[in-house]
Order: sequence, then structure tokens, then C-alpha cells
Amino acid sequence: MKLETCNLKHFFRKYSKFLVLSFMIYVSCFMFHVSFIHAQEINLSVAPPLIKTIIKPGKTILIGYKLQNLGDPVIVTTRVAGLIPIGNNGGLRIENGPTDPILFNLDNAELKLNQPFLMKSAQQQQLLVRIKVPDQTPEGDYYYTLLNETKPSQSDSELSTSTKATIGSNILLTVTKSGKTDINGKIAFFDVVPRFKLPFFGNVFDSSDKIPVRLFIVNVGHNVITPEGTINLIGNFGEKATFNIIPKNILINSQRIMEASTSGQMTDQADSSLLLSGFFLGHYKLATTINFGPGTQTLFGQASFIAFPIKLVIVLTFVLFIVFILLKQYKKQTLP
Amino acid sequence: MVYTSCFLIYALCFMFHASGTHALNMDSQQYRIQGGNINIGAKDSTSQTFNLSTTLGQTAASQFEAQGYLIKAGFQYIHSIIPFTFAVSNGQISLGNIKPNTPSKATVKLTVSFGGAGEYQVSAAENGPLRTLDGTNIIPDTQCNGESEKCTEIKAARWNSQKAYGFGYSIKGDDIPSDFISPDHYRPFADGLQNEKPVIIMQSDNVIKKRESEITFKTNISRSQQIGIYQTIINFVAIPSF
Repeated sequence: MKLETCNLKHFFRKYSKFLVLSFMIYVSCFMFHVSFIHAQEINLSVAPPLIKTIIKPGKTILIGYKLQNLGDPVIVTTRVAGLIPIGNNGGLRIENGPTDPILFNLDNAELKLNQPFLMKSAQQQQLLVRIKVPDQTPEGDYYYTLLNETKPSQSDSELSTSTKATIGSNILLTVTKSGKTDINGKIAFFDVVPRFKLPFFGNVFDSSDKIPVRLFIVNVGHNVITPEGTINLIGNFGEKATFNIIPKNILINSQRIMEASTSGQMTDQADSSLLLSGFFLGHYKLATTINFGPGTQTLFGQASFIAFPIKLVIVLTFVLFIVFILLKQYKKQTLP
Repeated sequence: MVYTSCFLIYALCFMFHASGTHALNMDSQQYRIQGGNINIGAKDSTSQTFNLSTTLGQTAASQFEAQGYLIKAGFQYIHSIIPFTFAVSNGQISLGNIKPNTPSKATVKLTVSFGGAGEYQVSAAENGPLRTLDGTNIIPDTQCNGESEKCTEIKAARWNSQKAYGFGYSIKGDDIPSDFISPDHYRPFADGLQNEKPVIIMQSDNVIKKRESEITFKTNISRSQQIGIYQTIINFVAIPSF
């Protein structure tokens, strides 16, 4: 035993410098191997993004939402707010305040509306939202959004801002006792956006111009409408092209620009329903037919435009003019 | 004993011979009652390398294609739709220390994802101007260069003068307002404490997968600005359209 202790002492004496150096390198490694600190990322996802339902007064429905935290741990508060449509492009404004007459609450045992809860990274939380329509609720549409908002964190910097991210999921409720809904829409505007407007000719374009068509539908009923239909382009030689209107919800007391395309898929055209491109020559008619589902009214609209190769004519005139001047000068020089 | 056994076998036969239930759509000229299928046995199974989701119960689940049409029918398709996602790259934005006549900037990235085709908007508002904790000193919202280059909550203008003070933001990227024509164009945030409505800073009628923008916060303060810790909260609200 004594011998072993002596050996150990001897070992430490012999290698003491090496051991101290190794220890320092080891500590240094830890000091320099500080992991990066990332900024706190807020990343929330919610599904489904939209609920549209028809419900009778006195009934209750339960909707399961999936809220997922894809960022850093965060404190989230779930609440419900009213929605008001703004503009013609599906814009919405959130109206904070009571959700009367519709009642909302969470069926989750451990969660309540307006009470914060912690969500760890990658955590999924099911939110069971119970929507109750009391017996005396007047018939009509009620629009809400389920908001999940994060709690901002504090900063120690002299000048700083904290960010709060809120993600919403919309709820469109139609309350009806009989199941009947008041579906009523009107074409608010259907025309091309002309480059020139000439008396007796109307909307005039150059043959190579892209022709923007605008179609606005206004909801004049008491319930949300979803227009479907087509826009047809008919040329003066009988050629025809059909564009399908992409169905979009139009809330009550609002209007919306409708989009149309050959494929029925959304396109990137801004501020217009349709952007016609090609080489146009002569008089063209545009006709739209719109309905709001089986058994509803059908709306018709018409517009027209004329296309000339204006740019080509101007260039040719200019060229002819130059040629004419050159010829005149040539004649002057050649004549005795 | 024999009678009891027979009765038990008879009862068990009934229990295991439950007939299938079929959903049916019923409609008339005024009503449409949709009896949807019931999604039974739906489950997400995960391991370190796989993420498998299963659904069961959908009749005629498939992808149907014709000229110009594509129908994806079935719970799996509904289930696979990417949810509406909103990300803010940084929850705390430090604008550094107070240095008069030296503009300080910081950026944050906003990302919106929407499965399939959808529409969305992102609006922003501040919870009051940058102010000290006791609320006695504030850094006012910017008016940009002022006079002919005065900005408002809904109209961006040039802000590059060292003598123009305040707090504001600029934005670049996808689906942003068209008045942010250069990196020097700024707006002040709508002030939630003054009952100003949040202003839309990103909006699209057409989101296929991902939209990104970068928002730049800027402050510039005068020599007379009181020393202190100035803070505020910016609320970004992302909602899908309808």
C-alpha cells in the first residue's frame, strides 16, 4: 500500500508540469468553445387557417386547432377578436373587444382564453375551441379571428424594441334558424382599364398592349357569398377564350376584386382580375357570367375594347415622312 | 350452463357483427346536408428519421386530374396542407447605445408560409413611441426628412438627413407596400396607444409557399435627448384572408 502511494507521488512529481499544462489547455478549450447565442426567434403555425360554417341559434360546435411552436420557447396567449373587411383585396381589420353575441371558450382542461401558457420549442398544442351560439342570437353573419399572441421579452440595451408576433385563424359564422341564407351579390364594376378613351370608339389599346380587366363583386345580401363563373373574350372573327373566376369569399357590406385565369389557379396580377396578352386587332367583347352556387341568381356583365397597332402606325408614318423628305431632297439635287 | 353459453355466443355474434355506417349527402333546392366521412385512426408516428401520418375512413381518397382540373380528395390531402405559419427572426431588437446624430439601425426578418393557395396580411403597430421606463422621456416617431419629404403611417418618404430625428422603419422584400421605393424610405409605426389602427406592411392574394421581408428599424436622436433606457413593443399580426 505504501509502495503504491509512493509511486503515485512519484508520478505526480515527474509529470506535474505536463498535468498542469494539460489542465490549462483543457480549460482554455472550454473558454474558447462558447456556443453561439441565437436571437430569440418567434415562429408559430396554426391550422386550420379558416373555418366557415352555418349554425343554428342555440347550437354549439367544437373546433380543434393545431398550434405549433417552430421557434424558441415562448409564452402564448389565445384570444378571439372580431373581424371587419377593408379594401377590395381581402384585407381585414381586427376589432378588439367583446365577441357578443357569440360565446367562445377553450375546452382544454389546462388552458383558458386570455390566459398565457408556455410553449416549448417544437411543441404542438391542440386548442379545442368551443363556439356557442345562444338561442336569441339574431340571424346573420359573424366574423372572428382566433389570435395566438406571444409575450414580448425584455432587453437590457439602451435603445431597443421587443417584438410581439400574433398569428390568426379566421372564423366565418353564418347564423340561421331555417338553414336559408340571403345570398345576394351585384357586379360593382366590370370593364377594362383603358389606355386611351376616345369618343365614339370607347376603350382603345395598342395591339401589343396587355389589357387589364377588372371585375368587382359587391355583397348586398346578409350572408357571405362565394362567386363562381367565367369571363369570356370574343373577338371580331369569332375567336373565343374562356377564363374561370377563382371563387373567393366576399363578406357582408364589402366588395372584392375577383381573379380569373384559364387554369383556375391564382396568378400574380396586381389590381386587376385578368391581364389579357397577345396581339389584338379590331373590336373585342368581354362577357362575364357569375353565380353563387346551385339555385342562386346569375349575374351578367359586358365590356368591350378596340385594339389598333397604334405604335406600328406611328413608326411607319415617321419612316414614310423621313423617306418623303429624303426623296424630295434627292429630287431637288438631281433636277437641273 | 348450456343455455348460458349459447346466450353468450349469441350476444358476442351481435357485438362483432356491427354493420358499416355510410355517410350520405342529402340535398333539396334549399338545403344541403353533408354527411362527411369520419376520419378514424388518424395518427402521427415519428422516429428520429421519419415522420409518418396516417388517416383512415375516407372513401374515394385520391388525386383526380382532368384537363385544367386537379382534385385532391381525401383526409390525407387535407391533413397534409401546410398550416399558416408566421415567423419573426428576432424577439429583441437592440438599437445599440444612445449616440446623438448617429442613426442606429437593426433588422428583423418576417416570414409567412401558407399551404396551397391562400391570401394573408401582416400588419404592424407600436405600443407607444420609444420611451423611458418611467414614461417621462420619449423619442418621437419620425417624420422623415420633413417638409416635402414628410412621411406618415401610411406613406413612406426619404429619411437620410442627420438632423431629422425620430424612430421609424423601412421594409424590403415580398408583398410590401409600393411606397418603400428605396432603402432610405421610412414610415413611423402606427401608435396603438393613440388608437391608431395597425398598418398593413405585407399583403398578398397569392401565396404558394413562402414570403419573406426584411424590416429595418431606425432611430436618430438629437443632442438634447435625455439619457435613459428607451424601449417599446412592436406588434406584428399575421392573419390569413378569407
